[in-house]
Amino acid sequence: MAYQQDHIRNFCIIAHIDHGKSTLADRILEQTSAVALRDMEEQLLDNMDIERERGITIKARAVKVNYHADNGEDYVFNLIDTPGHVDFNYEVSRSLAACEGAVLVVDASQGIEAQTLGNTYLAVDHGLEVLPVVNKIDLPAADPERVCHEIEDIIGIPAMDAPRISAKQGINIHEVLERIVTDIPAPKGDPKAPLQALIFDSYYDSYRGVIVYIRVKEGTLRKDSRIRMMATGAEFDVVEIGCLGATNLVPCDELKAGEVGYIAASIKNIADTRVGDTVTDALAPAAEPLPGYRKVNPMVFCGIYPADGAKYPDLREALEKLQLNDASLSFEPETSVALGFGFRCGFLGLLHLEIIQERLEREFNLDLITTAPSVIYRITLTDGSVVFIDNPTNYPDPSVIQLAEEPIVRADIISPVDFVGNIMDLCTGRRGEFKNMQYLDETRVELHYEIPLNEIIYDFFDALKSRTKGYASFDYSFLGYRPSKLVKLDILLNGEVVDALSFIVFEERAYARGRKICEKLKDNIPRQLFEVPVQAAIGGKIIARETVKAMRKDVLAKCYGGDITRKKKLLEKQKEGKKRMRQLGSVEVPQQAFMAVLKLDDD
Amino acid sequence: MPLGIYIHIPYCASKCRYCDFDSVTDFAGRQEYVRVLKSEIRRYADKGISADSLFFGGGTPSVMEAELLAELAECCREVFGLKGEITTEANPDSADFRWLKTLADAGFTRVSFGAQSAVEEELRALGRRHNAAAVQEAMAAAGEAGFCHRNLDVMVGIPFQNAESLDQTLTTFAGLGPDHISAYLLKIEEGTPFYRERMERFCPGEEETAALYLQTVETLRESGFEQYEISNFAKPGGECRHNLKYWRCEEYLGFGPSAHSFYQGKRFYHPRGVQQYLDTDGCMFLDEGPGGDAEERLMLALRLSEGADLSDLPENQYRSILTRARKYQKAGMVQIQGARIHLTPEGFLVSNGILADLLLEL
Repeated sequence: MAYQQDHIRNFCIIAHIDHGKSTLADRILEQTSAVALRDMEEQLLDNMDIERERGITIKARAVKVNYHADNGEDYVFNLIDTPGHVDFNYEVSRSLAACEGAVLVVDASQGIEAQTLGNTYLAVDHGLEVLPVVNKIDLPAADPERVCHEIEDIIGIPAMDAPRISAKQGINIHEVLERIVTDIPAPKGDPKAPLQALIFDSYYDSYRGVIVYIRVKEGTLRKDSRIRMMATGAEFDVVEIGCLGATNLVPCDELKAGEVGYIAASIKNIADTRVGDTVTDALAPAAEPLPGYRKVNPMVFCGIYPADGAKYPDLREALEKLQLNDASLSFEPETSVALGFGFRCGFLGLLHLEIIQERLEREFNLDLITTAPSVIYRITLTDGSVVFIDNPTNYPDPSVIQLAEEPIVRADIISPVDFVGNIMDLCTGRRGEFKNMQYLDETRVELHYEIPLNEIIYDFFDALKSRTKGYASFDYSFLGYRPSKLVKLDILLNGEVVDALSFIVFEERAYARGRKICEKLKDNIPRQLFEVPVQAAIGGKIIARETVKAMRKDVLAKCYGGDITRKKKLLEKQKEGKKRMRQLGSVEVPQQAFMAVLKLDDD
Repeated sequence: MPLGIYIHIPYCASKCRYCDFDSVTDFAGRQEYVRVLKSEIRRYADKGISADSLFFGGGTPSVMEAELLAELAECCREVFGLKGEITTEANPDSADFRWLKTLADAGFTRVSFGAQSAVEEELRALGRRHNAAAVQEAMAAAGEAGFCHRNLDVMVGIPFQNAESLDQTLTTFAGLGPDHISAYLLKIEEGTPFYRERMERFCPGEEETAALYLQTVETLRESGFEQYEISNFAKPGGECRHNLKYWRCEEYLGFGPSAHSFYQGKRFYHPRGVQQYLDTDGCMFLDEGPGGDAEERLMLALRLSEGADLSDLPENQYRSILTRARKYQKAGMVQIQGARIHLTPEGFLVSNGILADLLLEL
């Protein structure tokens, strides 16, 4: 189909988790016949296993389809999927920047949730035309009327004529397609201007190198040209460009302003193709890059170590491979006295951390030991210098600390009113500062808190879910640093500090946390040949103690008529068991002990 | 170096309730069994093999006529030019003076009684056939028959045992004039009545059993018995030479079902079951591969109070063991003297764990 800028519609779908974003995307693909029915796999756009299992989209994907509208004209739709989680806010914002409009999917029974708001405001901020759609009207609890009012009242966009659909049942999908044509503006941009193309995603292909997903904002990208990444300065010869078919990449000769497509240019390193960067023509470069680019900074850090020290090179290779597709993952070598060689890894958030950990274990078959996640603390020393600490091991001696500050986030929680008390208890317990509360309707309320990030990265979301029977939704954004009374809590086994178990904690919380960790360790460390004291300490002061009792009898007393092999087998078995343990000083600690310490329940 | 010879007698008058050894209570076929044993032994004839110890274990050798055991010993003399220690195990209730005398006259030097306890209630719980008085009679009969090496087996950690009852057993037994006492910690094996009936409920707990073991070491020392292996105690010169071969990683041949051999650097054994042994004419072996490597030697040597000499090891292994041993040395579980290392009674109690650690890098 020939290039007709006013017949292009670039849009994304935004929704809270489980409100039906992926299902609607599938229906759109199906009804525009982009995908033969037999090729339809459930939720085509989410093509990573973990994404499917968790029902969330981690990486953005995009697809181009053709739509023959009721007015007789043919349109090109570029559907750009967005990650649905707060950890990936920046990636969401870049995907939004590639669109002119957003289809806002709201569940007809649940109404607006925390991420609905977060993503919608983000879309509005980017100047996108928001097209509300009320989904799941087939459910018995559906109340589209109420939800449309809610959208108007809370978000402030007209919604009374929002399509009422069931993506699952395929009801009213046609109306959505028509509204995309009529309501979402066509892209602008001059095909003759110097090239400016926005990178909104990329992935590593082992044959072709990095495949970069772009939206051409200005100018024309031609194959066989030389391109430059404006932020990194890296230049490449284009090997192939094309548009994004539903099931494969479709090469073409040029991509013009308003179009969405991909570039393959034998790019080896994904760090050269940062999301948000601008691609321009190296020979006729644009004067300015597109606005909005920033380097994403990890918010949450933890140490990742191979359970078997010999697997260190495998872990490095696995992290390098993951980084090929995920430039927001950072890692650098780190050594722990307790755990040996590993990596200090930085993540956008806790979900990002969990996903990476899970992929390392599942896709690369690695056994890992992960240390407690930490945020970045800003410490002003007595000499006036400022250091940022992402590893408790490096926490300075209290005597040289003039001011300790920790990152604070603004937390937005939406919940049925019945659970307000529970949520307030939780947030107060997590050192949250109450800011505001507003009723969305008679039954639902939105709470705003300012909470130290430190308090969220452990198990806040789980705790929130369990206190609200799963009904509450949650979103957060970084506010800044604030002074705090922080201490470094050390854990000692047999009198020796285990560096991998140290962490930074709010002073008043140290005692309870220390005691809890000691108990957990006691339960998870098998009896040794010696009594093992498990202690928690601040500075030199012991604040909690438990004891792992000594094993008193473990002996093959009888000589079975020269049956040496039986003894030897037992010996080998015990040696194997020992090798699976971490030797911390004179104490053997199984992997699950490290894990248990990370999962401290609140009660 | 001369070999040790082990002959398994797979017969018992009845099965004890804790026993996991290969034995049956029908011993009508014992004549045939002795014939097959002799034919197996004779297969080693004319190979210039010599032996200096013979051990009859079981089962219960004393359910066999003394003449049959003597015949087998004679067969070993012919084949291996056997000289030195000849031991038989015996049950106190089935070894009478005539039986003992016949063996002593046939050159047997040592008898080992499965005495287990001097406390009636404990003997009944174990399912033993004999009573405490029978031990005294058997010891007297063995002395009169001419056995100057007499051993009593004692079990530690058995149902209803406590410090007091153990003291009674040890004191009583030491007073009967043995030159050797074996004290085994009860281990409840799967498949035994003890296991099925969850008899551990009536046994002393782990902490208490450990204390009983240390009490045993102490009491026997006071009575003149030095500990020379985890479970073995002897007056000077009373050590069992045959068993020492196992722990010093010397070679031996085992005859009969479930008997293990270590011969020409290889370990192999007959499978369990006397009927199968008879059916296959004693020709069926299971191979266990090479034996006698450094790990094995150390594992065995560290069962002995004399311990192991590390000076022959490669430097890195030597260092690894000594480094790992330090913490046990501090805790009084291991002693290090130059290149020699040995476990103390405290160390013996948890020797599985210590060995696994010390030998981790071998």
